[in-house]
Amino acid sequence: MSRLKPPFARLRDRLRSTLLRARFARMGRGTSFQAPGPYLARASRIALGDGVFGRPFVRLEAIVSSASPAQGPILTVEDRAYLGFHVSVFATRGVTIGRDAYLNGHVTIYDHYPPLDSEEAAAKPAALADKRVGEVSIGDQAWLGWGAVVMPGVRLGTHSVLGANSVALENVPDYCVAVGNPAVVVRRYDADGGRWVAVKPGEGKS
Amino acid sequence: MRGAGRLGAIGEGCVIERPGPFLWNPERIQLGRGVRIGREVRLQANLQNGRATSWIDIGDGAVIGAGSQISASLGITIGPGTRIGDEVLIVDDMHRYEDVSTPIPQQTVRPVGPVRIGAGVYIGRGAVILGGVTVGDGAVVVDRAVVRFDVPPGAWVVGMPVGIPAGGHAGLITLPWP
Repeated sequence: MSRLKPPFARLRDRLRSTLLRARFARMGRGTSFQAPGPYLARASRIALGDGVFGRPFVRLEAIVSSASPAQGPILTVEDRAYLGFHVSVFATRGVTIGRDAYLNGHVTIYDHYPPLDSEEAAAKPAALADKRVGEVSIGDQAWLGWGAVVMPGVRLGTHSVLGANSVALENVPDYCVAVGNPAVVVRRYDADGGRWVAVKPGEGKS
Repeated sequence: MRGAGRLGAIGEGCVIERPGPFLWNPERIQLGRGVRIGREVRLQANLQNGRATSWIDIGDGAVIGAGSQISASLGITIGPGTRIGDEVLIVDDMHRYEDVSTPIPQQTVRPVGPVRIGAGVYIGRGAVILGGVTVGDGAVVVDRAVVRFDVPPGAWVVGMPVGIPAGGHAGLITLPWP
């Protein structure tokens, strides 16, 4: 299959997307994923907006557990978000990825940690008891560097940047750059001066 | 399962995904019952002074994520029920670099100390466990952490490197619970 010439490959990707549409709670117009993948769990609880684009090996897992809302999507990807190679999202309570968010390769997002596997969630309803659980929201136009990790309960602000291989344990306010493991805010946008300014250590807490 | 006959021991119900695993000295590698190993995993029992004396023991029901590498010059023990995420590196040796007149790849490898990972541990995606480290039972190593020192049982550790955080705190960082 992978030996097909590009025009046929594009047609194949479009056909695959059409077949995928039936599995999601919602999949907007122009949304597509490159093969192989996406690897999905409980796609009926995942909603995708318009024009979402996924690179190969994307993993989207909605894991229904005692922390999940009774109905509705628990993983929402809004319009025109980009999901890079090997991006993985594990949701049991609620993960929202905003419009025009850009997730580079190997970005990983959890709303519970350590992550449940689907078998564990089904077999042991109480398995969440020893997890950290909290809703995650990735702001509109946010940019996540290669390999960045977002931990449970974190809100990454609008137009904010999380550096490559950074691990976000705390919220990142709107219009900020956070880097490091654990991530700290190092720059923010000064709206009055119309420029990005450096943040001293400890100053950027939300 | 391909290569299973070459392993030192393999329990019932093991699942090993292809491609892989890539094995060095497989007779020094032992898998318990119900071990699950993802794609593209490397398990290396390295030679020590020309002899295959190192070991890799993986306990019952342990999970090794895709793309992980376990490289032992002395020995690495992984307890039962431990889950290791994707792209994790566990090594018990370190390359010498001190001689500035010789390229580092031509210098020898220095064994640091056996690595012991306890039972029911969770090691997150992309984490690195270095030589001589003991990770206590039920500990959680958060994604991308680099572990140079022992982790007490039940502790959560995060950061690079774990134990020397930029904020100047002493000791391990433990996340608020839960």
